[in-house]
Amino acid sequence: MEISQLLKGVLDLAVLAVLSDEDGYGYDVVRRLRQAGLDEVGDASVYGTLRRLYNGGALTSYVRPSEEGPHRKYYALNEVGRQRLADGAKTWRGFANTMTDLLEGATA
Amino acid sequence: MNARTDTEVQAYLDRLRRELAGLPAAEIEEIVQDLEPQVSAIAADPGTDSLIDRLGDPAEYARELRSALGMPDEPVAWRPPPRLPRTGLAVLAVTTVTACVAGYLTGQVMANEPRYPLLFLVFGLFASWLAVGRDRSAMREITALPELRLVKERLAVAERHLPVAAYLTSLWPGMLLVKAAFAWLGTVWLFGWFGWLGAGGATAAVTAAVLTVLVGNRAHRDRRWLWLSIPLGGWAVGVAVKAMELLPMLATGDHVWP
Repeated sequence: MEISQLLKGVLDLAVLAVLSDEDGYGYDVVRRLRQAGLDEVGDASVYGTLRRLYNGGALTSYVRPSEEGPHRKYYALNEVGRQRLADGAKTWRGFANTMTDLLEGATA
Repeated sequence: MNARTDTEVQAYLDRLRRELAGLPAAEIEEIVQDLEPQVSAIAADPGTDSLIDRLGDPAEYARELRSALGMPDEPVAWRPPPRLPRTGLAVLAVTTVTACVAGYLTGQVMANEPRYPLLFLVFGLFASWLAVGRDRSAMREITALPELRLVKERLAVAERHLPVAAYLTSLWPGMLLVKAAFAWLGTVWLFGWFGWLGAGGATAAVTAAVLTVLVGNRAHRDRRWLWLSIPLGGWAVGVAVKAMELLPMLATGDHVWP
């Protein structure tokens, strides 16, 4: 199964998790997701997700000057985002456990 | 970042802007602005051969972005890019030329003439304010037009390589004062026509000069004010040309007053 298909459903959660460690700007979030092992994550998907989460009120943003060029827009979790991350993590763990059990049963 | 990557980044963002057609214009502008540092960083990365290899085709990027934003995949129908920036540029150009002609005619000898272009000028300034002065993004969209971007790039190159060009740019505060002086002269002429050359005319002329400086300074920081600053420049040029014409009369002792 294509990882990119699986990612669609959980990218929100992955982005929220990355931002809960530390605030980040678009490219930086992409880099951290890839470092964590999500190699297939697309720049556009991550940026679109950040923007949608921000529009949905789960993130705040602020601009910070960069030494290399134009100002960068940083995103940070707010209370709504933290709540969404907690709920999402719970749902994900339940779902992952169910899937693991299901697959173990199938391959046994 | 070198010039090659800069051009490549702009080309990529321009195509992306087109591919996002159908989203609200303000949204597109914000997206492109957000992405500029990101795309520049990727372009500047020594490991990047080309942006398309690294980020995918702009069409693909736009599709992925729409999907992540939860927007419909494709624009409902293809729409030509909005003509608004070009309209704004045209309005600004026509108003500036009208102001230039009005400035010239203000110093003309025949009565009544200055009044007609002035009427056009009032309409022109109103249109210029509508097209450029109201909205922060209008001037940004105009300067993003390919034709203006080319001019801007050429100027930047000239400034880097020709010390004279950089010197001329550094003169702008002085140029602004010259512009204000001609705005003053034009207003004196104008009020002369209407026979109001008393304290009222003098006050108006000084006000025009001060206003020119204020508007010029303002426009330097806030591009919206170019709606007035550029036509004022046109007016000053028209007045200046007429003043040059009148100079020989001064030398021969003929009447200088138009």
